[in-house]
Amino acid sequence: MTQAKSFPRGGVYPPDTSALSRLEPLTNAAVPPRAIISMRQHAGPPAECIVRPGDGVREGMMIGRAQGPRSAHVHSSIPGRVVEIMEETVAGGERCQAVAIEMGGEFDRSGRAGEEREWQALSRFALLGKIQSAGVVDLGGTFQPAHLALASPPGGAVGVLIANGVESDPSLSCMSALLREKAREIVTGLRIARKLLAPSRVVLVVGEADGHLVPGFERAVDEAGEEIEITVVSSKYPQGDAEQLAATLLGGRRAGQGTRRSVSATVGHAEDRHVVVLAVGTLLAVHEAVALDKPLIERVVTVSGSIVRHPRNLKARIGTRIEELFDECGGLSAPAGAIVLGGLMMGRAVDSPNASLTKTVSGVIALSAKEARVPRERPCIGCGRCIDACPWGLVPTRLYKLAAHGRCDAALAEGLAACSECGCCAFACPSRIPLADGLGRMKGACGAAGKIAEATA
Amino acid sequence: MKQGSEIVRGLASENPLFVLFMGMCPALAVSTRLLTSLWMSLAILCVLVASTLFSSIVGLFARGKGARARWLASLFLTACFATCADLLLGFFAADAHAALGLYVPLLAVNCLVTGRAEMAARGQPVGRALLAALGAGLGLAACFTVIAAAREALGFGTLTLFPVGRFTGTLVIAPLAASPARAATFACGGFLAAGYLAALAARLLRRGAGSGP
Amino acid sequence: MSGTGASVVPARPAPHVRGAVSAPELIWSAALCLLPASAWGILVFGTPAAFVLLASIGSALVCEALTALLRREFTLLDGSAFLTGLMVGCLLPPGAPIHVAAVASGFAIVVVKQTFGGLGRNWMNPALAGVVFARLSWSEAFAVPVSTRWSGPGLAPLDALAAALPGPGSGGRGALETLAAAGYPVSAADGRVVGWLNARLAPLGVALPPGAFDLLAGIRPGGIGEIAVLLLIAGGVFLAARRVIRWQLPAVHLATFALLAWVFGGLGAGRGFFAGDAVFHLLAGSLLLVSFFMATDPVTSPLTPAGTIAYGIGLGAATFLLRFYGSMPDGAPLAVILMNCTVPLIDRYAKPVRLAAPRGGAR
Repeated sequence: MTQAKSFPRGGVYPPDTSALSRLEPLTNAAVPPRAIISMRQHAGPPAECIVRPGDGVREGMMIGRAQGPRSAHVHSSIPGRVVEIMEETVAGGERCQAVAIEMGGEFDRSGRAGEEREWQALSRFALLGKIQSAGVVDLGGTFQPAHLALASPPGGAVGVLIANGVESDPSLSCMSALLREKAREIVTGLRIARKLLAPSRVVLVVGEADGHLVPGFERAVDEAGEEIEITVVSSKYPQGDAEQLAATLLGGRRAGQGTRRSVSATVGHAEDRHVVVLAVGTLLAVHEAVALDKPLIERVVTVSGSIVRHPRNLKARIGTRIEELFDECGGLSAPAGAIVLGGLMMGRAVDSPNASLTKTVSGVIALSAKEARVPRERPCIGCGRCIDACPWGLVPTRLYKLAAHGRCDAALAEGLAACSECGCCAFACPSRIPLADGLGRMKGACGAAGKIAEATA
Repeated sequence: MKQGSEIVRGLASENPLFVLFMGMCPALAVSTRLLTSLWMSLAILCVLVASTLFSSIVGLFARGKGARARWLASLFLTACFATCADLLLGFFAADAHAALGLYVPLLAVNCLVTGRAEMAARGQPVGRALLAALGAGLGLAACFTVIAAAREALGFGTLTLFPVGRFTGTLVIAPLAASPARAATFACGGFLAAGYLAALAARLLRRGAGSGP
Repeated sequence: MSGTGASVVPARPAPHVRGAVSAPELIWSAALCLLPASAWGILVFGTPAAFVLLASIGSALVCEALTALLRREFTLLDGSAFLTGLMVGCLLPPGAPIHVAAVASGFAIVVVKQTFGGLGRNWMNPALAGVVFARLSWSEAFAVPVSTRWSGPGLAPLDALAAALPGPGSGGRGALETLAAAGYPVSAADGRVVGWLNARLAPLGVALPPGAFDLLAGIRPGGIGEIAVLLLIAGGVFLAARRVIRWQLPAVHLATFALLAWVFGGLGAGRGFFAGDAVFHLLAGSLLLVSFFMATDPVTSPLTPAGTIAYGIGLGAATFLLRFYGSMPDGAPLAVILMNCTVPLIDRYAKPVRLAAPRGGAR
C-alpha cells in the first residue's frame, strides 16, 4: 500500500499519542465497588429508571427501560444494592437520573466467557430483539441504539456495510485493542449484521497505524468463511467519522445531494444505495448480545495521558468511577490539570475524577497542568486555516462570527447544520479561537429553537 | 428626545455636521483655512436663517396649496438668498469669495438649507423655525471652525484669522509650519477630521453606545 | 456530588490539543524574514536609514501600547506593531525626516488599525496606508536624491524614469537605457560586472544595459527595504515554504503584472505590443516588497485559496494600471490599498465546496 486513501478535503494531523496505550495488551479492569449508572448513555430519550433505593440488582439486570423506540435499555454492570437515585444534568441541559449501586452478592458470569449460543437459526426479528434487549448502542460514532442501525433502511437495500476500525481520535487506541484481541468476535458480529442487513459489500476499515493487524484479522475472516474486504486508510483526523469514512471509500459528494442521514451514513450514489457504518466495538457488543445473551455492561476504554503511569486499554464495567480507572493504570504521576472523557479533539473536560464510565465514553485522558492550560485567545487574523482544515467545506470563521451575533438563520444557510464539531478548525486556528465550541453552541441554540430538524428526537 | 431649547439642540443633540451628517459638502471641501471657513459659516448661517424665516412665512400662506408649490417656493427663496450671500461676500471679502468659489452659490441646493426651508414651509411656527435655523447654523459654524482649525494647523502650520491692527491675521505654528502634513488639506484629511470629531461628539453626547455591530 | 461525567459544563472547550503554529509566531516570522532586507538597506544607506527604521518601529510600538491601553490590553508581544513599524520604515526613503517616519507609523497604527478595532479588524493594509499618507503629505521627502554606499546621488529608478521622460517607458529604448542616457548613477561594481557579461554575451548579440547588476544586487536609491530584491525574494519564498503566507498570492500577482507589463508596457513609449520592460518593472520600485510582505497580510487578503488567486489577478492588473498610467511613479502600494477594498466582495463569492447533507443525531 503506497498512499493510503483519505477523505477528499480538509482534516488535520493532531499529535498521535495513541502509542502510549496501543502497545499494551487489553486488560480487564477490576470490578468497581460502587457503580454510578446514568439513564442516558445514548442518543435519544433517556431510559426510565425502574429500580428504587434499596432494591437488590443482579449483574446484567435491566435497571432502566427504554422510553420509546429511539431509546435504549440500561443494565446494571455489577450485582448489589441500589443505594441512591441521583438527578443529574447531562450535556444539553436535560435532566436525567443516575443509579448508584453498591456491590454485593454473586457474579453470574465473572471470568467465564460463557457458551456461545446458536444464532444462525434465529429470525431477523428475533436477532434485533436480542440486540435491543441487551441495550446495545453504536459505540464508535453516533451512540444511537444499535437495533435502529441494524434494521433494514426503508426504501432500498444496503449497499455497503462498513465496519469502522479506525480510531475516532489520535489519542485513543481502543479500536486497535479490539482488532488485535477480539477479531473472532468482531467477525461474528459482522456475520450477524450481514444477516440483518443483507448488504452487497462488507468492508472492514482500519487506520494506517493498525495495518500490521490486517493479517491476523484476515485469518479470523478466513476461519469464519466470510467474504469481508479489508481496507487500510490514512490516519488523517477525522477519518473515524462515519461520513468521512464513507466519502473515503465511496467518493465524496456535494452538499444537497442524497438523502438526509438517519442513523447511518447515507451517501448518494448512482444507485442511491444506503451505507451503514458500525464501529467494531458495536460489533463486539452485538456478538455478545446475540451469542452470549450478555447485555452491554462493559466496554473497552483507552486510559491515557502523559501523567498516567501505565496507560493502556481497559475492558471496564459501565459505571466505574474515572478515578478507579486511573488507579488500574498505576495512578497519576502528577496532579491532573484536566480530565477529558473521549478523545482530545472532541472530548468533554470534567472537573472532578468522581465522574464515571458510560457507554458513550471511548477514552479517558489525563492532561498535566501544563497541557491543560488554555492558550490566550487572539483576534481572528483571517488566515483561512480553519477553512482549509474543515472536512465539510464550511467557513468556520464566518460561522463563528454569525454565532457570536446569534444569527441562526444566516448560519444555517451557510451550512452550520453540517458541522460535526470535529474540532479541526479550532485545532488549526493560530489565534486559538474556540471555533468548534462556538459552532456547537450555536447548533444547540438553533436546535433548541427548532430550526434544525433532528433525525432523532 | 426633544430636550433643551432649539438653539442648544442645533449645537449639540441635533448638530448638523456630527449628528445628522447634513451639509457636509462645504464642510469637507472648503475647511482648509480657518478664515475662509468662518466666512463660509457666516454665509451658511445667514442663508439658513433667511430662507427658513421666509419659507415659514410662505408656509403660513401656502397651506393647502400642495407640496409642489411649497417646495418650489422654498427652493426659490433659498436660491435667492444664496445668490445674495454670494454677491455680498464678493463685495465684503473678496479673497474669501475667491477661495470659496462655487460653494456659496451651491448653498442653494445644500441639503441642510433646503431641508430646513422645506420643513419651515410645511407649517412650522415662524419663531421655532427661526430658532432651529439659528441653532443649526451656529452648530454648523462651531464644527466648521474646529475642522478648519485642525486641518489648517496640520496641513499648513498656520491659523488664519481676521487681521486686526498690526496683527496680520496669520498665526504661524512654527513646528508644524516647517513640515506640514499636506494630506490634511486634501479630501482624505477632511474625512478623517470629520470622522474623528463625529466619534468624539458621539461619545460626548452618549449616542451610539450600545448600537451593535 | 458525583455524576457520570457528562453532567458538567466544560470549562475548557474541545479540542484539548492545538496545532503547533500560533498567530504571534506567524507575525514574528514575517518580521524576521523582512529583517535581512532592512539590514541591507542600513548597510547601503548608512545611519540615516537606521534612524528612520528606529523611528518608525519605535513610533509603532508606542502608539500600539497607548491605544491598546485604552482597551486595557497589552498587545505588543504579538508582533503586529513591530511588523507594521518595520514595513513602514522599509518603504520610506533613507532621507526621510524622523518625524515623517514617526507620523507615518503612528498613522498606520492609530488611524488604520486601532481606530477600526485593532488586530484583525483593519480593512486596509496599515503600513501601506501610512506610507501613502506620508507620500501625499511630505512629497518633498520622497523627491530628494539619495546616494548609496557605492554609487552617487540619484532618485529612485521609477521616479527618475518618470522625470526623464513624459511617459513610462522610453522612446524606443528600454528603461535602463533611458536612465543611463539621463545620467543615472551606477556603482563601479556594476560597471565591471556588466562589462564582463557583455563581453561574454557579445557573440549572442545580447547587451545588458548599465545598471542591470545594480538593480539585481540592490545598490540603488529607493525605499530602505525595497532595494534588496534577492533578499526579499528569499524571505518571501521562506515564508511561503513555511506556510506563513499563501504562495498563490505573490505568484499570481507577479505573474499577472509581468505578463501585462510585457504585453502592454511598451505601448506608452511607442514600442508596440510585447515589448514592455517587465523585468525592470518587477525589480524596480517596491513591487517585490509589497507583493511578498504586504499584499499577503492575512487580515486584508481573502480567506480561501481560490479567492486569493482572484485577488492576485486583480492586484496584478491594478499594479500595472497604476504604475503605467497612474500619477504616482510606483503604483504598487496604491494597487494593494485599492484591492483591499474588494476583499469582502471576493470573500462573499469565493467559498469552498460544501460536503455532505445536514447531520442528524445528538451526542
